[in-house]
Amino acid sequence: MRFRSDNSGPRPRLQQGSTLTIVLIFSAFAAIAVTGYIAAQYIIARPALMEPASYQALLNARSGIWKGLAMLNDSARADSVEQTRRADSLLGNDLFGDSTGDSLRIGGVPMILDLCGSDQFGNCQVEAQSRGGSLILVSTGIFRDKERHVRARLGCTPFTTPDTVLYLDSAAKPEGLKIFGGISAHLPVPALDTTRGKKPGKPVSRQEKELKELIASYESKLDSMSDSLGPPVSRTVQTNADLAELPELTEGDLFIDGSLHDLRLSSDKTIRVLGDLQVTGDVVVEKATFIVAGEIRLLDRTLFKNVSLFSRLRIIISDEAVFSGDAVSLSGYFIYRAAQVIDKSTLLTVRQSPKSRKQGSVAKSDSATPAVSIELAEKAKLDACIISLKGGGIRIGKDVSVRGIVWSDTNVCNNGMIEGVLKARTLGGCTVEQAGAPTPGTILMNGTIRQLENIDEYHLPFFMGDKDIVEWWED
Amino acid sequence: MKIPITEIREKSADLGRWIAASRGLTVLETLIAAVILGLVITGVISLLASGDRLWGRRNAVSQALIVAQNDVERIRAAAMRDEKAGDTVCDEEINGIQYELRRTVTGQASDPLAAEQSNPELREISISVRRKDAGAELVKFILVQGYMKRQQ
Repeated sequence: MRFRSDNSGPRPRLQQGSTLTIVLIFSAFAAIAVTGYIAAQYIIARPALMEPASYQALLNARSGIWKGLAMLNDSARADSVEQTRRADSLLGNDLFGDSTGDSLRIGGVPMILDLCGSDQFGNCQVEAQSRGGSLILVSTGIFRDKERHVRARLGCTPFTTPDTVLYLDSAAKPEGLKIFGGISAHLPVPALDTTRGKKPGKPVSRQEKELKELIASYESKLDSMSDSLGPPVSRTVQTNADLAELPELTEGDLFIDGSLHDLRLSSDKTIRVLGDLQVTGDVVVEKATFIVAGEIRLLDRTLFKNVSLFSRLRIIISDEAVFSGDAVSLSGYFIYRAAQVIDKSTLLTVRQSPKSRKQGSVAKSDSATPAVSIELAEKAKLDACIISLKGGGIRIGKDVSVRGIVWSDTNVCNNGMIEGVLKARTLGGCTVEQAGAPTPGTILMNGTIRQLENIDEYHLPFFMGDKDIVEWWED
Repeated sequence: MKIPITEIREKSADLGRWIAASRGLTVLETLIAAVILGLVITGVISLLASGDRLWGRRNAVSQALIVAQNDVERIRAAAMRDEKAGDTVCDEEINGIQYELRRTVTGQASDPLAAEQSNPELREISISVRRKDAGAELVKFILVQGYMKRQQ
């Protein structure tokens, strides 16, 4: 019904209202507001709803570490069985399957492991990487579109009682030995592995195999590049910009010189050097890995923190240089002046016979193999696990203090102070007179050994016994 | 002040025209508007309700996740002390809501002997959490826990 009048004329435009228009406008506003509300709710709720998937991925990654560790220990055990098989001709070759076919290998390709029978709950990729004398298991848990990473450092806990400070592979108690608050244990000859899980007389080929794998993984990284290169070119780094852009490979010697500017590098990259590596001045390097064909020299006020080192030749730490991390040398160590090794680091040296070294490598070979592989001198301080395998001894100077484990499969000459555990086949050899076979009444140790309360916090390299998890990181 | 009569007549005529131009609402317009309004209000209410459900689900899943995480951490801590986790069903209350946690432990794969000999010994553990007053599982996880064999 409309009101009409002849007097009607045009009405003002603003007053031409309609309920429908207003309703539509308000409806549109309401719809937008509610959609916005729902979207906001969803955006807020989504992370929480996706969190279980992310957590399952984390559990997969953790599970991968345990499974990987079990595989590594089992494959080592299988190797022992394999050895038994070879030793016993009555056992047929087909009795034991090829246990090494699908095993987790150091530096090998990542293995995909199912968590349970099916992949309904996702799976994980496990990889074993060498880092110094340690083994890092890297596990990536995958569930739906979520990925989580867990890394674990594997080591080996030495089987020792807290009050035992000396394991000696000889029946005779050494004279002149100053032991404060600890006792010594004499092991029957030949040398036994005193690491956990090893029984006396058990063959040590498992160690050999894993040690070979460890060294081979480093050697391959050097060899794969040295094959296709021209003449070596040395590089000197004196600025932070150069240090940050340091290439992955240096074909000749690498000098990092922090005498003009303080240099700092914090990166987990791997730097390969086909010549020597020398670091001088004020240089701080964190987390990096150096694989060096030649000698490594850390001098002046160098600080290498949580760094992994590998050298085919010697590693020298001197002046006020400080090192923490893992180091492997195929020739030995010389640590002197006020140099320090801190944070329960691991220094491992494995003597390689000249024959076993790769021919034609850039590395210079030692002309004569000295009897001492690890020389600790002057006022050096070490909080570390120091291991010399395959021939070289360890010599500790008068003013040197060592906290942790000193482990040699030959001789140790201790003139300084050790807090922790010392394992050796023979003591002495500090002087020329002592160098021969020890005679009764000879003072074999001028230094001291004390027990260390937290000796269980120090770990031997992973290949020296049943592997255990030493450190654990989660992303 | 005198206003001429012609001017008064003109203004009266304008007012008359204005009144005549003000149209009323048709029944059809009103009905359409009411239907649209009704649809919009229904949509808004249902969206708000689903928003609330989403929020409630989020809270329930978050809290169930906390219950499951607590149990996983308990298992890990016990493993450090060489204590193995076993099957269990237990209740936990968060913000006045009761959750039921169910843990099932199985040996590794189909070869319990291999699991026994392995170091670490591996155990497959399944953990599920549901609200006590509602049947459906809120979260379910599976993990493999290792137990290192320590030599005495």
